[in-house]
Amino acid sequence: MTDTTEAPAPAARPQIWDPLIRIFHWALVLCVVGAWLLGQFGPAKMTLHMWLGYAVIGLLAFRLIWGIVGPANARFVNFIKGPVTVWRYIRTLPSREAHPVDGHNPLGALSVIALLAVLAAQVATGLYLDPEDYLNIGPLADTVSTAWNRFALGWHHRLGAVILLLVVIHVGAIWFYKFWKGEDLVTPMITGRRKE
Amino acid sequence: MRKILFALPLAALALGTAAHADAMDTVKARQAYFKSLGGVTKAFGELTKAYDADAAKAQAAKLQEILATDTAPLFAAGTSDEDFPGDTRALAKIWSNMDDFGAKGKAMHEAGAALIAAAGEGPDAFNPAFGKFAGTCKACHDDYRLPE
Repeated sequence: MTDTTEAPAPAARPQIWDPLIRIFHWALVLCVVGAWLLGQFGPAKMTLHMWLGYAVIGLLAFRLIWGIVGPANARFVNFIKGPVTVWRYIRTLPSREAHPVDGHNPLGALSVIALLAVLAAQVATGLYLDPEDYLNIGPLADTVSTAWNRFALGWHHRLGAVILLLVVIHVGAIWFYKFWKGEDLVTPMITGRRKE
Repeated sequence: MRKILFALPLAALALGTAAHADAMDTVKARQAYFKSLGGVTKAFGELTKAYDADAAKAQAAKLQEILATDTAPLFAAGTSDEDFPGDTRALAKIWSNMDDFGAKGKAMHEAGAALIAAAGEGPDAFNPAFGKFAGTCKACHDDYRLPE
């Protein structure tokens, strides 16, 4: 007699995050954290901050393409939901029961979009700002007026605080799922699959 | 008597307006000072990419002249971005942290003197001196200037 209650082999667990999405995610973590810290506490000459910014541009471009042609869980059309679906999902949050979603849940999707949009705005303003310190000038700052240089500088500063806030919410949400709902969101972002 | 009582607030108003106009002149003078300082610094920045001893020395002479300016009157009280919103980006924090602001100004003058000394000494001396000087611009802009 064969034992039908045997747990499925690890390979049978579905892949939630494809390898490129995982590399993208952790590369973005490194670049954003590095650029943010260098921006706040780094040396006066911000060459490395700028290179990390260029890397973020490349990563965002990849995510945009991957959101259209990538696997199901990476595609924007599959995880961006309307307000009714989001609200229905929010109502499951207080319950201590896990409601696992393969891929981004309807509320997390909003956080993903917010992060991508804010990071896009942050790298864009970085390209056009001029802090008038004659050390660090956005590579495209000369192509626009001084008023735009200043507008970009003002928003580059403000968005730095917004990014910190979004990252705190992101990490806070992971803790919430872990300790309130008993769901482990970190393992799938490392191995691609849920822990058994 | 009645005339005097009537005239007093008017006189006060006129004086107040005159003080405000004087303060605006201070804001304009301050902006002219930093514009000339920025112009020289920008020219120095170009020289870090393509060094030229004579050009560097010419800029150093200009910087010397600018740094000889007494900047204390340029930071007279009542000339912050709260007094003239939209006209100046000098944060009111300058006046409540005058000790630190003064120390940063002193650092700029010292780095400027070192840059003037290094101007004719070749890129190996000039480039780091410029970096240090420009870093003192950044230090103040980060803390004491409205970004836009």
